[in-house]
Amino acid sequence: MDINPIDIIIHIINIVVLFVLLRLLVYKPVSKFIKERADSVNSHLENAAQKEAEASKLLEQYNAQIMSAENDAKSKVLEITTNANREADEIIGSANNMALEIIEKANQKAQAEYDSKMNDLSDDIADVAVNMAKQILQREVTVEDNQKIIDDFFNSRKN
Amino acid sequence: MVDENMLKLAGDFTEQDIERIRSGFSKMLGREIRFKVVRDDSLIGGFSAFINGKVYDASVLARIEDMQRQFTD
Repeated sequence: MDINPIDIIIHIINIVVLFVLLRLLVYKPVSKFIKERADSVNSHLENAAQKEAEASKLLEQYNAQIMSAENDAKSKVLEITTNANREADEIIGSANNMALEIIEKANQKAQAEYDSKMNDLSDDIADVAVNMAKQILQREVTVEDNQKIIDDFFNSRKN
Repeated sequence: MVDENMLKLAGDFTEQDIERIRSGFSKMLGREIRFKVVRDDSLIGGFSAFINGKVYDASVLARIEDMQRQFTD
């Protein structure tokens, strides 16, 4: 088998040409493509990272808002409970006062009624006593009694 | 001037008693007093004299009523 140097040169030239062509036609676009692709991926990654950062920031904000809302809710509940307790105490207090007033009035009424009955009773007793006295004296008054009444009357006027 | 007045009596009185009442009032009031004597047993005892619209009550009834008033006040 004999090798012809010209053939070799031609092959080399072919290879070089092919290499140049490939480099021009294939390597550059492919590497450009690859670079663009990489850039795109990087930008997507960056974008994703940014989005993740934003998301976590938002998450923090939301958590903070939720915590603040919870705190507000707790303080609101506490405030409402405190007000309710205070109002309940006021209602109970006024109810107690009303009860005491009612009891006081009832006592006064009972005392007034008792006093009135006692007065009536003493009046009745007085009437009975007077009537008895009248009836007894009606029979008992003598001439001497009347003479003493005359003496007493004029003696009391002399002083 | 002699006043015509009324003297109510309850129970037994003698004429001397009535005269004593009349002279007592004449002396007390400083003028001659004459009475129209009336018996009123509702007075229970003693007498009640009405002189010039004024009442001099020395009756047992008056005393009992005083007692009753004190009892109920």
